[in-house]
Amino acid sequence: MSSQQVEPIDDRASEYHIIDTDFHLQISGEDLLPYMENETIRAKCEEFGFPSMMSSGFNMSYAFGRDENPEETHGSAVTSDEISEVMKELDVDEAIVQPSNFLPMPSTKYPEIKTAVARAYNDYLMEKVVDADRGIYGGLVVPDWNVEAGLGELDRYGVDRAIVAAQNWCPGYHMVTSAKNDPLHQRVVDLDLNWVLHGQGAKGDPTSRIEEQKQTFTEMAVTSHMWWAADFIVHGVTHGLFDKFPDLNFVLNEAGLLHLPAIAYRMDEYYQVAPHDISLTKRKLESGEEYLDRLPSEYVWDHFYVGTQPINLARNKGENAAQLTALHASETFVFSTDWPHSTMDIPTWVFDNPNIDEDLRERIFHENAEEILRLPS
Amino acid sequence: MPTHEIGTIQEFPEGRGTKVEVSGIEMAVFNIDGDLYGIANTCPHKRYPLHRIGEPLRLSKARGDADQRDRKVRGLIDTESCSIQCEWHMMEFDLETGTNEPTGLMAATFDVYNDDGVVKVDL
Repeated sequence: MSSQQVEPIDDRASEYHIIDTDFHLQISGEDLLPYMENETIRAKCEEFGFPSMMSSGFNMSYAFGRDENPEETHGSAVTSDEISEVMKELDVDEAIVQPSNFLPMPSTKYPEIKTAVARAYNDYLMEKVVDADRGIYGGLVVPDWNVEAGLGELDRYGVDRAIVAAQNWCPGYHMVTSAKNDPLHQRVVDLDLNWVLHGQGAKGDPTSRIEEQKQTFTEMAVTSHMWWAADFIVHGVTHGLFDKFPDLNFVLNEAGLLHLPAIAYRMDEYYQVAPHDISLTKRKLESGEEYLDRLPSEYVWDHFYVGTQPINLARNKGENAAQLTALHASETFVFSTDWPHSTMDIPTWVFDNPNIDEDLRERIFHENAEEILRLPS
Repeated sequence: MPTHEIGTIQEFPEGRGTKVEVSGIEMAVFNIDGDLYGIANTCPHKRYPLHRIGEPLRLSKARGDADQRDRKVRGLIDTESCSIQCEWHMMEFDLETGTNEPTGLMAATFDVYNDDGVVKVDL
């Protein structure tokens, strides 16, 4: 790390205990090569590079007006020492480290390579990054495209005190909430973990005609994360995930906030008038149950937490207050920065919102995260 | 209009911002080729501070980034257009008017000047 003196950005934050649920680790594929066990895979990746992510063809520099990589706008830190310095600058006391956008596994081909990369990432994470004594924790990457491999990762590192959550993506290609992943959900619950999911980056399906018509960053950033989160939440609820696993919960990072009430109550609307196909979902066929145990909205508020970045509440004070209430902010918000990406947040907004009182501030900064994450005591 | 002394010119290095508080007002002062510009140290977008614009980015030594010759800086200072880009989300503000052209959002600007080596601001 550079020899720059650490100067906290906002003095007010020093008075609070702050947990960041979305701190990115910017390692590249090359960093993982030494950890890749399969010689064939390692040799191919070393010689020819890693599989590329499916690209929707956006050039973010057009939108931002500067030529840079928006995944590294705010710097770089790849070791526990470097991460610790950044945390001091942000006045973050504990951070949950997640892969940066180089690792949106669900959207790439070559499942064996993806599995090897996920495994190597976890090895790197445990060896060079996490440090529970300094509040640097890991979201353990758990492959869902290969359930056996995912179980293997949970077996390898799931009990480590520096692992506080199972990590996956809120994707457009696989539903982690699918019944095929129930062995993973069971193991996550058995380990007293929950899931932390991150969007796959603001990328759309390049084969979609709808996506083909989008050409602005605003279109991409608004719709991709949010729509994927909506798909994910609705799928999990209506396929009985939380009836089977009532202790399972999700943190959705960078997935948006404002659509939660819409999802919750729109589900109630349609479920109440047309619930009779719930019994055809795999979990309900196995259990013999016909319907959900509760109204869909109840699952939303009980089982989902949202990383607050990017915070985008209304500027109008009255509307802002209504949003916080409608979003059940005191139960759902977990503070997140998204460091070092170009859309990151710092703790300042939690102080400057006149509708956030001391109690809500504590809930957002750390109390909700302490409920959902298996943090070391 | 009261005039406040806020430091010597040496305390306001070229090519970056410097945080100053005057009469309860926190501002960022930018030195662009010797010309001084004061702007409220609160980006109108999300009210995050502006004063670190121009500072070197915190880069990883382990990754070799810290040794790059073209070391990156926080945000951007455009000396030709006399504008800054906020380090947080890259919104651009004219240092003369404090305005972000695409949105009309505006940060207050202040008349900061060098008076024979003493930097002053009129409030």
